Amino acid sequence: MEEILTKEATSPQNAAATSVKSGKPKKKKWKPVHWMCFGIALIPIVAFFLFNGMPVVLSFISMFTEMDDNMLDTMRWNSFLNFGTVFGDKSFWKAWGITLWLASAQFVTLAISLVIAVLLEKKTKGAKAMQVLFFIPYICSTVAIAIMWSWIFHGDKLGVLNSVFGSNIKWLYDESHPYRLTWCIYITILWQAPAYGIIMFKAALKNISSTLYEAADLDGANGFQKFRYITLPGIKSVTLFLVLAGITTGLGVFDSVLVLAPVQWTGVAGPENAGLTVNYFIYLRGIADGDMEIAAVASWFLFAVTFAITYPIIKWRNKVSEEG
Amino acid sequence: MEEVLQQEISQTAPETKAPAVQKQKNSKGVVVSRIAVYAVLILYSLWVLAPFLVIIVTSFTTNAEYGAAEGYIWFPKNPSFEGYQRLFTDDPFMYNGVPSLIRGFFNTMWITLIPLFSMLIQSLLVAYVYARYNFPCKNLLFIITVSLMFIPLGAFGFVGYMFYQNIGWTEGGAAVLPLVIPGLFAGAGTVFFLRPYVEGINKEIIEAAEIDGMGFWRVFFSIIIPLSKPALVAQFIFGFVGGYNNYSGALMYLNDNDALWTLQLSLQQLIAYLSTSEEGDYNFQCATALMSMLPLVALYIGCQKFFIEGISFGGGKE
Repeated sequence: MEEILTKEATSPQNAAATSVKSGKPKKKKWKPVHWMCFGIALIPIVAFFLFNGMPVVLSFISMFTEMDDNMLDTMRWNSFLNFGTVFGDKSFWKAWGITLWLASAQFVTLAISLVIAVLLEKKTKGAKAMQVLFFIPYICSTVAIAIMWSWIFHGDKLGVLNSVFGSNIKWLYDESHPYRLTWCIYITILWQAPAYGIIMFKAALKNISSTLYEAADLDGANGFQKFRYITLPGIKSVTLFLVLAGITTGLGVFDSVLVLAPVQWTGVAGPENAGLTVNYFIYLRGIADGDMEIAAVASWFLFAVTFAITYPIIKWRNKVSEEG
Repeated sequence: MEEVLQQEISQTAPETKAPAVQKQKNSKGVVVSRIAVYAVLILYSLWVLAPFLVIIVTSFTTNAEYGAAEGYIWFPKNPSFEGYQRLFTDDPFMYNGVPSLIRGFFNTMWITLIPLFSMLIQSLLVAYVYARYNFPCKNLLFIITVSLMFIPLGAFGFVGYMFYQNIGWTEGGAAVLPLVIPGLFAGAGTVFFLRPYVEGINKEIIEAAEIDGMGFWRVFFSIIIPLSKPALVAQFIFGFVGGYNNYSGALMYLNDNDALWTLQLSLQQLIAYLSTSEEGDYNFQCATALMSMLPLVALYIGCQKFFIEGISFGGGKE
């Protein structure tokens, strides 16, 4: 008991000491309870290094090697051959094209969610019920969503779209129009992704004080000016967060392509690989074919691209939240 | 339309008090924009509802009716529960009489809930320690914890397999370990999220308890945990939705082990199997997809307040 009280009493000085000379507090005698706290604080760090750090380090090493059945004891140096295999693989670059295409859906998503959230905030009747409805796609699994949509895109006359248009189009698998599949995947993403954005934007909009709008009304500001000078600054931080989350999920698309573009016996994901994303490429090479060295190169490349795009946005967002 | 207009009038009425002159001037424009607002929202509602309606209708349409159909059936003539019944009787992956969807549900539950509870309590403990105590290297450890949070690990989802394969966690029943063990421990993001929350707990309550002779652990279990419930619920919902819908992890480790299939894996396997069937079995497929979503959607409708708050609150942590 006393320990805690004394600790409380000394902590301000101690904090000052640590902030002045980084690290070692002067003449501080740590008691067992403090070492226990130290141990507790280590848990997330140790767990991270064990279960995230180790696999990542191993995959880094494996990029430069060759293994039998991914076993570490068979590891041998193979002088950058894996890089040639991945970067010389046309389907890898094609997968990047498809991934960027599908990731662009995240920006459309952002616009949709902002519009819907703003409309919901306009003292709309039934906004509560609609908000409940609009959020449902978020809690549906991507697998179930892909199944729902595959019935809409069904390739014969029984499919919903074909019935509506009286057509007989193979939406998901048509050799002569392979990219219909990509558009179909795009649509399923557009159906699910705004749910999260709507909730986040709506929470942010709610936090903007209504007195700001009232003051603007008195000054005779029009709707656009209010949006530009009150709403936008108020949602800047959450927008940056959603951009970050969108980029990460957008570049990592996997579940929906796996269901909508299952691998054919020819080893192709959808017609002409129109459903092959980078993560799907990694899965096929690493898990299905068991070539972890190849998957590691592709993963590290994906990581580097994701990091390069998101890092400046993280910096920017930190600056915004410091200002606010 | 009339309702909309009426509603419009009732809505603007209280507002007109303050900026009275201006509002009345452009009231026509306001009505038009109101209608546009409703039109967009109603269209968006239909867009969200459409896929559900489509599979709900089909789940009640019999195979026989589809056999003779010329197009999608909007109104089944003899609606039946055939699809739902077959879920329990015709499951090709049935195991000891338990349909794969139900087995998958229970597998998902324990694979999700055990790590989630453990992770949440540990994260709260770490947050408590940061909020309440001073200890060696506190600032340094916190900086490390926070920077771990910003590493976009999404790209490494699949390559982790190699590590677990080498320590033998991909063989037989052990294949479930990579999905459970790493999640048991405190997570950096959750600690970061919970710390300000614990710091916000009234210090006097804690000090009073400490003067009453409560030790570290008693304070944690009987004061910190109960007072942190809202934050824990938010984090729980975030984690639960993620665990319930996790597909790629289960696919990677459990695909060959049908006794351990999770809900999403069972769902995907069932649909893949059924879509090759001669009769189509559309009702069976749609019933399967609906039943897989039902528990979470029902839970959401029942506690939507917690879900919406939890997601908008807990989501901002990363």
